[in-house]
Amino acid sequence: MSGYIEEHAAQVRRAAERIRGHVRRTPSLGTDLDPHLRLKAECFQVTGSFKPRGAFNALLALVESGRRPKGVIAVSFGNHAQAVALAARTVGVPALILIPEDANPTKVAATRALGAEVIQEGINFANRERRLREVMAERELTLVHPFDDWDVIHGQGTAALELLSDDPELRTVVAPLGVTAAGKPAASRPWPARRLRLRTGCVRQRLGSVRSRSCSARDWWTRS
Amino acid sequence: MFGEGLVDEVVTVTEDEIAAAVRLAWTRLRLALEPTGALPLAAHIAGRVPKGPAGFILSGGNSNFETVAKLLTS
Repeated sequence: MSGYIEEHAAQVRRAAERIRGHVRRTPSLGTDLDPHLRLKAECFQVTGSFKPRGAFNALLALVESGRRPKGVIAVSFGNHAQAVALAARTVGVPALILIPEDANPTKVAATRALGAEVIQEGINFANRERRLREVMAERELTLVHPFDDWDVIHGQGTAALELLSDDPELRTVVAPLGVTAAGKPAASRPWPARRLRLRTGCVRQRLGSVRSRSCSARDWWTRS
Repeated sequence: MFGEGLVDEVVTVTEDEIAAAVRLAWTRLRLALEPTGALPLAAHIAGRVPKGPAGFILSGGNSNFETVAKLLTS
């Protein structure tokens, strides 16, 4: 287990090097609400969420290894969409994003403004994976998965790396999560912070996650 | 592919606790969080975060303004 943790902690550190200059090192804010709290304000991240950390790491890793994609594709309710659009524009490859019809229009507009092609017509929560696979095959695009991809995970982990670097005394890291389509909590995927915790030697640190009680499957995918 | 057991605990919060967290974020912290981004604050308000130094990942800030307007005025 420790070899496993060390390996992934090293990958998170490599991701941090790789995406530096493309994402912001967001502040870890103290607050008068409670002196024990450190707030990692990823709402100040480029595109407004932590998602570009993973998207940039995935795309830059592909380019680095000589597997520059012809184009990339993603399905998202909005935050991963914007992240993939920005990373693709930066790398110089086209992005196609499938966004369900009932998504937040502000996020759709932001994704288009970043230069991505967006398809919404006929896309809903139930058919989004099937439609994704169909379009992907038709156009020979490379998938940037919102969570089920190690490069994406290691990129997202850099938020926790920064938080722990700002305050090594933290005993708990709390991250938001939804629920997978299968109803299975997915917190461990985007946030491998506990691996980092062992690396940093803060053995009493905890990693907790919070989800909404009424969180439906559609809430999970890419909202946080 | 993925390792299990990397999370110590999952806690849940109610819609009312999320609404309170969004109000707290926008009014006291001046952080324009979307409801999902305020989940750790909701857990804090609900008393479900263990005592001691804690770091909260707050993401994202891409709100549906109609939703937030309702939450802020409710």
